Amino acid sequence: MEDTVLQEKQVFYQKLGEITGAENVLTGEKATAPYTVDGISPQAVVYPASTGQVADIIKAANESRTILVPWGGGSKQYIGPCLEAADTVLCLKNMKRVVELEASNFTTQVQAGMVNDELQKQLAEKNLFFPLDPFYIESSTIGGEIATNANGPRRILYGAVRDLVLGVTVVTPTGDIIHTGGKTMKNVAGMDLCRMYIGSWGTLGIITEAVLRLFPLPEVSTGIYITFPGPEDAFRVVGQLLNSPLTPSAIELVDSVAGRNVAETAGSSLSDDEVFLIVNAEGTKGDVERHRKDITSLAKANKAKSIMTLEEEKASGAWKAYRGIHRAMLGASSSALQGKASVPISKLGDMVQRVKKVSTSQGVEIGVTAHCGNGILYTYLADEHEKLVRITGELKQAAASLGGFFLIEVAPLSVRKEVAILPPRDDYQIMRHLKTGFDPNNILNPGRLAGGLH
Amino acid sequence: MPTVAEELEEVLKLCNKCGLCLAGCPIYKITGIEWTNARGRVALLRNAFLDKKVELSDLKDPIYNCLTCNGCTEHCPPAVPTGEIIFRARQELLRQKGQSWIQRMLFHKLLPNPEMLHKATKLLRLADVTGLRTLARKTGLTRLVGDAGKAEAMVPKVPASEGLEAIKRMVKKIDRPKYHAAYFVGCYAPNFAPEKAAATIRVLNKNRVEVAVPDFACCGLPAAGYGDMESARDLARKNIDIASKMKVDAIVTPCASCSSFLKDYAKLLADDSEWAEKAKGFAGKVRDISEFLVDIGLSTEMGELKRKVTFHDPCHLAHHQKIKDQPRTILKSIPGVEFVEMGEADMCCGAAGSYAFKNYDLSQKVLERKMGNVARTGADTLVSSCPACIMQLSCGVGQQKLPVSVLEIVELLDEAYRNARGKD
Repeated sequence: MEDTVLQEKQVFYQKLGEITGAENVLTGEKATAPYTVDGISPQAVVYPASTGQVADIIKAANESRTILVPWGGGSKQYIGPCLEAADTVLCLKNMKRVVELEASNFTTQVQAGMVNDELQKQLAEKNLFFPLDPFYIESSTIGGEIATNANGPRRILYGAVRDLVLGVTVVTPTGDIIHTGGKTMKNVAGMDLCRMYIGSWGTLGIITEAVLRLFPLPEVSTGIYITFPGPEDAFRVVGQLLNSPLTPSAIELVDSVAGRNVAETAGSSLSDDEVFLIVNAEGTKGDVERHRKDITSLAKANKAKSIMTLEEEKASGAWKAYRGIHRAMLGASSSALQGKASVPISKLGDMVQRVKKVSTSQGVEIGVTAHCGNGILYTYLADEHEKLVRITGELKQAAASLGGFFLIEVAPLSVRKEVAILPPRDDYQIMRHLKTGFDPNNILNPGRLAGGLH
Repeated sequence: MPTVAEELEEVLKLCNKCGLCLAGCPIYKITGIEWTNARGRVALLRNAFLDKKVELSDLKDPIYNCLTCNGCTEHCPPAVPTGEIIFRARQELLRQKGQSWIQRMLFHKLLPNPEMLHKATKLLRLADVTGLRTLARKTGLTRLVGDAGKAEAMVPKVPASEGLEAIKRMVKKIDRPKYHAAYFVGCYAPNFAPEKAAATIRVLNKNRVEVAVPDFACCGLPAAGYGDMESARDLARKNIDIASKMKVDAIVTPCASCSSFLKDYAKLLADDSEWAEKAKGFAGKVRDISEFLVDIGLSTEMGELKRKVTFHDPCHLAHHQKIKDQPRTILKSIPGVEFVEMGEADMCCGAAGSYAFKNYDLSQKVLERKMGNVARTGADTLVSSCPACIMQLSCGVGQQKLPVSVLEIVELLDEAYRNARGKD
């Protein structure tokens, strides 16, 4: 029996070479070990060059029951529910072309392996941009961002992945090529499958191309950094700002634990209870100036300790540092945990207070950042296994009591295996039916499906 | 003595696989293959050093096809020092496998001795003037030695020169000097480009800096790059000893690789009780030429240069020394110069010391990307501040037939100062 399986696998690896060319298939530990996820090392890595090749690989994988792990930039491979098994990584690095760029329609069709930041460079030459700005924008691919529903600070002005992706080309887990959505604003016939693929984590198919909405580059983009003595002052400003005619493109909160590096890059410093807000405004010079003026008076009226408008270069440096917070906070420790809470927008201030309470009662330093316009909050901490489990339990309760939920993004493998990564919901059963219907042989990213394990 | 594993444990564990390093890795941008980026290399070295799952000798490719440009560390939130980890791995490989005869000759005989190195390059000149080099190219002889042969075209023509002695003769006393500097000439200028050394001396003099040219040996970086830290330390001791006999305000060099490594002497000799303090003193005096000129207040008595200029950041300047503003300040201060920033200015050009000789094809692909960025600026002058970069960039400009001149920053400054004199 085992021999037959082994033979089938050998046939499969040989087929990979026939489909993509032998030079696009890697085997051997040196080549495959860096693609290890959740302690599971794949046996092979294949780099297809077209949607057709992806379809052929998936068909062959079904024949030999080979488990495939789709891979873009790999920035979110270590987040979320644990992978159950992996045999071959299907990496889209050879699919990074702009297929079509229609400036007058404000759409572009790109292959899924295109790195977001590389796309932005090409778009900028046509005075356009794609507003999706997740934290790993410099290394994450468009396909990966769609598959993991990766959003960023600018969501508050431009919307989330679901608002910015008009259509996707997908190879289903049985190897069919489907095009769902399109390049028109109205393009759903029947069910909205395009949106189903957003955040499907490679469990329902492999996205190979996407049609994206584009916007003209703003004339100016400015970051305003405001330091407050405590979070309550900052949230008062956030509340008033959200209820004003202003349209900032980002309102981010950073506490003193998470914000050391950013404050330094921005040329300021934070003491213990202090927090700062980064408010970004973009548009015409007049628009941005109005934002700067109004936000400054709002901040001054609410005990702001310092207000800084960063010039373009310094602002982009501070944004980069801000984006790096997630990983800088986790970097020094293999016992680090990054969690994400989602609460009603008006309850975000309360959630920060709850986090601080947990921090004090458990005697653990917890760093906090938040997308203030969306009610999303990140926590960063490091401790031993038992304590991480206990603290995440308390944070889950805190978020639930405010009408939201708390989920674990990054954590030591032992914690991710023991604790429910995602909140309890009553629609997981339907999702399981979907997964079984789409992927009868369970060959795509088994275990990654939301709610699949616990 | 701690083992390599103990030494590296902390830094290897710093990587949390977020992949932001991918954005700064010129090699990964070309290959897209995980083991060629910092995240992949660190994972493999962790497997070798900490988890003992793989032999270090099986990882020669990931260890040697790294440019050690530190582009990854720039993008890494916890700043994993992948370049340093790679250097340490090379050192360990060398300890296990020993050194080739060519490396032994280079690091133990030629580089410590400027006179012998000059004699060796004279041989190359002989090949130039007798037409042997052309013959070797035409007959395909160069191709027989693999990547090194392919990269042979990168080596510039060897000029008729008398090496370091000739450069020493360029030195002169100046009126009321404000500063005294020891010029660390490096291996390139005496053997391949004495005119660049002349420009350096003139520029320093123009800034009221009196220059001395001592018999410094190689800085040691080439040896360290191949894991031969003992040779690097010997060279460091030799150079520190020479400097200790001089009274200077600074040790200045226009070579970014040299200044970067010279500044590292303190770290290099930290465990040597006899030399640690002296090394610290020496390293504290080292300045890259742009850094030094901006520090002392650059003389702006310049004539106009009608040039559209772009700047390529040498990795050893931008990433290793964090010197990015000073060269731009200098270029923008030259009257008539239109400065235009190129895309990915601080991304490696693929030279990386002798990298091009060992990994020619990859190096060329990195260079092609750089040339694309240069061409898009429309600049007529490409400036940098590192001989290896200059050689590589010149080669790229030639291959792509771009109408661009490639100059060291001191050469452009020299031209501006000389134009001012012309006006008088």
